[in-house]
Amino acid sequence: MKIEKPADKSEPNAPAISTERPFELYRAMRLMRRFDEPASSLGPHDPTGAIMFRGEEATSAGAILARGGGDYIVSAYRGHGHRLAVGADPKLAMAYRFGKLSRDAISELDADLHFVSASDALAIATGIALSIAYREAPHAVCCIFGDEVLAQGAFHEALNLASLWTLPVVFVCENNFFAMGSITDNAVCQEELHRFAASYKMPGTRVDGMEVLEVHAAVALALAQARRGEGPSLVEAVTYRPNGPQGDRIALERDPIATTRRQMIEHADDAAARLDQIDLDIERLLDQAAAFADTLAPCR
Amino acid sequence: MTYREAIAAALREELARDERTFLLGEGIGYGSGAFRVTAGMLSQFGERRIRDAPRSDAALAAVAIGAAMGGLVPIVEMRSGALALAAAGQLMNHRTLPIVIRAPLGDDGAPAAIAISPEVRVVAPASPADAKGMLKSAIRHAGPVIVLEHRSLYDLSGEVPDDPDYQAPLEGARIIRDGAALTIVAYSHAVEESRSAAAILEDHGISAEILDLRALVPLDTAAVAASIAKTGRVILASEGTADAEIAASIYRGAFRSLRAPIEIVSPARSRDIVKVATRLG
Repeated sequence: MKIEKPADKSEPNAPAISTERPFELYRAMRLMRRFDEPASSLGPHDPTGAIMFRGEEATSAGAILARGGGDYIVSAYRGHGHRLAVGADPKLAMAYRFGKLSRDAISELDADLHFVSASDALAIATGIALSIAYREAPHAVCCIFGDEVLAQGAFHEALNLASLWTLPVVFVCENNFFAMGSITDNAVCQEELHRFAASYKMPGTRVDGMEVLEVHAAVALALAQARRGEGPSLVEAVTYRPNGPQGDRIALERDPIATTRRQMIEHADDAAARLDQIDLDIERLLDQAAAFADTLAPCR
Repeated sequence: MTYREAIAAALREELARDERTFLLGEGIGYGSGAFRVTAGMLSQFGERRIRDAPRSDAALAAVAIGAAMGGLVPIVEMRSGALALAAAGQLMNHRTLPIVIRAPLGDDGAPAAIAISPEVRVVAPASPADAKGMLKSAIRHAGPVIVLEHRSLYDLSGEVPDDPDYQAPLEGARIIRDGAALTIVAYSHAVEESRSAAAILEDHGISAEILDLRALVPLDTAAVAASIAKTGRVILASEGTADAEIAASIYRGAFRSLRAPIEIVSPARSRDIVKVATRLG
């Protein structure tokens, strides 16, 4: 397992962000984590064993908040948190997790949501990008997937087509060094995953997936290029899933939420109060969502 | 008009009618597709509407799913039924997206299980009129439809309505020959083989009824049961898909009508149908 910090790839041409954006990124990360963590009010709930976010919030939040109006997000995994990060009602997600709403019911209540299978996600993103190019619309697709896809043929077909047809899609690989059941060192011949981009004639960058602003800047730049018709990119965000002693240690030491919080308070003294308020609001929101989910009968 | 021309006419009319439709498939532009169905369409509609794709078997159906999510109506040509089988699995989760997969059945080992999910309609037109009408209905349908063509049918000629709004329903079997002693359940090219078999059986004094299933999902189990109630005997003239499903529906819906075991002839060839029919008694 590679544990060294990736080289600094800060991008001088990244689009400028507003002073509010760090707060929005913090809120999205915090919401994803607290949704997953069994808070006191959630207690023993969570029959689904959903894939957890802990340690990877920065890659998802950084990528997702880079989207503009009209852009699409395609998630291979952890789509529940991605959907929350773009503003979905946590009530529905919580009810789904509690086994109170079926997939079909969720799809009916949330028209913007489609469920996709992980191995199809990259080609589906490519297809959505094809529809954008077909209409010559100034939008792009951000596709977020895990490193395990690099060991699958689906990765090659999707990136080849996206580049061949110069489609507006950004492939964001969350490299946490673990697939579902294998470690990436035993699965992929190239340990620097961003290097695959060169063979598809697209830009490839590697960013520190524990630094939300770094991820955000890289994905924002890639999406801007895509919207301008300059074609697809691959962004590798190096992150850590708590999994075994080493990953746990790194995830703890480099916790992206704690890091962001510390940086924001160092940058501005009055940030602490606002961040505390964000934390409180999220607790209230999730308590309400859990209470709502509790009122529903189990779906059949 | 031939079966091939009927399919091409349906594609041309729908491409002209609806700007959201486009064709996607291996070699459909410069190569005219696997069976020359799309010949001349690239020059008529251009590269945007006629999207030449590489042989990306795993990706094409998923690309079509994405394009449909983005508001388009993709019409995908696959070069074999085996590829449609993989596509059926991918389409299962997307019953509200308008996607058409065209694939030829044939002699390459017909796929056994394209009809795998009630969410994905599967049709198998046996005549030029159905080929045009069902394809047009499939393109205008709100969910995914797999249209199974057949490599031995492309040159078959038949009457086809000229009306640009002509459509044929995506479900419902049709009796194409009345008979009393035996029901031959068929679809796609097996219908043609069954016609030849029925003519020979007539000379043997066996009156065979032919039921063209037209669709494999949903199956018209009521029509199958009704015909068997009349004849008491059944041969499934198969293209290698849905046999077990049809047989199970017969045990469910027409078991007491059966005077002989269900027979399956696969692949359906007229002389084999005759051989089996003459020993059914």
